[in-house]
Amino acid sequence: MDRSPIDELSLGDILEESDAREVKRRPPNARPRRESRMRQLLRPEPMFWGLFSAGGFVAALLLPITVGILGIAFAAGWLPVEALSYERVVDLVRHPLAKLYLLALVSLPLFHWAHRFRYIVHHQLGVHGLRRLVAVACYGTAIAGAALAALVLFRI
Amino acid sequence: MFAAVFSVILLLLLSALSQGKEAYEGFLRWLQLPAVVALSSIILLAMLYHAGTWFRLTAHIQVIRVGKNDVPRGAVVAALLGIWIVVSAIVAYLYVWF
Repeated sequence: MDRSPIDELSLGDILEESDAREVKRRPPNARPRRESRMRQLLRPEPMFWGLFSAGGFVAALLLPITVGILGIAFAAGWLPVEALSYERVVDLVRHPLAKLYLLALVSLPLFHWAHRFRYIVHHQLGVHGLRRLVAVACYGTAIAGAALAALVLFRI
Repeated sequence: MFAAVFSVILLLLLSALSQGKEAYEGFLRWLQLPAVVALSSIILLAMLYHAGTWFRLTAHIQVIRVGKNDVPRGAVVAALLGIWIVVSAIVAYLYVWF
């Protein structure tokens, strides 16, 4: 197998580099930070990392087959005639579990994109200001997409 | 990036579906346009690449131990690929034949 840069750069290096840019240094005499468990859980950064990770798994596990079937197999005529008929799909999508699945399938990759794109803007495009604006734009887009998906699914 | 594009396509599909049969069938015709199929092919390639890098990344981050020994990364990637095949088969069955 080819060696990619990720084999040479440890995850620790990457995170340290990221922290050096993302986290303000605390003054040496500052009091140790105390946070309740609840506050820790509600901090946005870990939450968005969690959504990023979940979205990464959805994109890796579920999207290739979904794109293959909807985007290619259907147009190529490889599917049974009735597979994507309105009646069958509506019937399938009206099931609550299917709605939950579709909500995850649409929204988690959006959160994955939002987090990834935010870091692309700052680290790869080298824009180091405008942090709040970029974060609001990225996560805002993902939240809007997820809300829209929920609304549309609710109306089917 | 491409996953997000596909999320938007899925969102359009669901929105067409919620507007009734005519809108949905219009969307299916759009899906068959050569340009859209080309876009889907690019998205598919990007998703397969993402799956490959993501599984390798997972094997780096999540070291699994059995007893005192770390499971080799290659084995973790192979297991994830196995899971990927099984999940894809189940999902394909649900989408098309269920």
